[in-house]
Amino acid sequence: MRIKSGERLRSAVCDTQVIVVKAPAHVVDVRCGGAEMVPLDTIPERGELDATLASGSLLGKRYANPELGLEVLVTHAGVGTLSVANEPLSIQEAKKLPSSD
Amino acid sequence: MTSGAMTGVKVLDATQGLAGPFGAMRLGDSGADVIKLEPLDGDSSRAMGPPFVNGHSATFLSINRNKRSIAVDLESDRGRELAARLATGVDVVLEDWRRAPFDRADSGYDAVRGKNAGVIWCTVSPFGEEGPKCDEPGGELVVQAMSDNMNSLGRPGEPPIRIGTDVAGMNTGIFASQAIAAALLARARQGIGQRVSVSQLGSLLHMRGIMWTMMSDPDEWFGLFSDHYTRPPEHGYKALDGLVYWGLRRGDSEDWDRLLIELDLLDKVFDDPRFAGYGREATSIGRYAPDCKPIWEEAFEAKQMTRQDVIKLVLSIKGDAVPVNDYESLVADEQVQHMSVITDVEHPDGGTYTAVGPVLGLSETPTSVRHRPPRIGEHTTEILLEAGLGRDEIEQLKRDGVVREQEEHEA
Repeated sequence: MRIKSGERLRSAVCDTQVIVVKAPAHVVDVRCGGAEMVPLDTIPERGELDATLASGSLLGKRYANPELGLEVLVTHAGVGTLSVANEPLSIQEAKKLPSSD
Repeated sequence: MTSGAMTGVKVLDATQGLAGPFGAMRLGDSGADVIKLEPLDGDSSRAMGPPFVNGHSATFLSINRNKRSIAVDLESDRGRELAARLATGVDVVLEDWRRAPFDRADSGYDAVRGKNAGVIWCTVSPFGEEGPKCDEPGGELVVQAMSDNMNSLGRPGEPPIRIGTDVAGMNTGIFASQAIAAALLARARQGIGQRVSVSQLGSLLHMRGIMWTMMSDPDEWFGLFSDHYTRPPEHGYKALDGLVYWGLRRGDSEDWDRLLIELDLLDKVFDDPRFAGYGREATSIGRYAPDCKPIWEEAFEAKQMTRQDVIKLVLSIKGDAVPVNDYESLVADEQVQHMSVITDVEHPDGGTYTAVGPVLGLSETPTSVRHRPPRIGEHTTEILLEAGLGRDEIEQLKRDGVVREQEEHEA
């Protein structure tokens, strides 16, 4: 599917929800728990979790595939693994920010 | 009792009003023996008000503890002689520029230095002791206006506003006590006395020093009116039960993400460039903070957040958050109570009043409150005895109206 930054997606197999922070210009197969993610306002039939992609997503964490230019922020945690096709996204380290006055 | 850092230092405080008396009180808080030299009708600040507390000036009560008072006819020759005699026996003299009794050559610094070479002589003036305005009278608003401090409040395009606190007077008092401490240290190391000069104008110029450096590159200065710490006018953020002030501090990118998630703000601010850079410019004194404030307030309202709810959330993401206090909530504030600096003081004439105690912490030589503010000339006799006058001489000075000692029934 083609996604754009700011778009919200939900998992079809668990409670995971994300907001797209960076989106590639081309079509990308964003999945969670092995199943393609869908727009937030879509209520999909609950699919089956792929047991090999069940390491979970953490609330408030960013996951990315830098090569593709994809980054998402988890707004609701779930048990599925975020991936592009079957390649899991990497969890991003928090950026240290300068102190403000 | 544990000694203060300035225990043993004798100070003659001939100043009136705010600046000098506040500086002298700070020396007294550190243990100095401060003699308040007043005219027969007292320091002008005794009549300064309203506000009054049981008939006594709140201004006077708040800046004159830890002093003993002697009242002298400072305009008379005998009064000036007496003042000069007192000045020869102390370590520090504070005086107001061009005010009796030290405003004449025969009773000023040069005269006293001849008999007291080590004296630290601190002169407090509105504009300095030299220059085209040195002889003009000054005051809080005069100096606030002249120093551009009034432009630190208000909104762009609207008239300047005075700062509610007496920043000229109080800061000059702080500068005076700091300068005197520096001079005392120099005397201890080098054995020299010296003149110390502080001015209200100089103090406020210094207080806004960051601003003047910023003006070196005005193109980088986006807040053309109310810049820096008061940039722009800040009224707090509305929560369900009152106002809070908050800002982002040391959190990381995940803290920022979590804040937006908790407040359901991701959709609203995601593409908003004012919130770029993890919101640093969208809160606190950030340049977009005033524009963004309604967004935050709407989020707090949608979540039905009280002040404590907001504070808890912001602290959890390593931000700053405090209630915007009024008097009632200030004195009840747990941190303020813990600091034990707001205390009730018993005054035999003024009843019970609230005062802020010393706020400095010195681990080995602590500050202290030893005396309530004195009556006019309450200690005239004992001070003159210490200066070497005989009782008959003192009684004669009283009969001649050169000195005065206010008794309890006169208060």
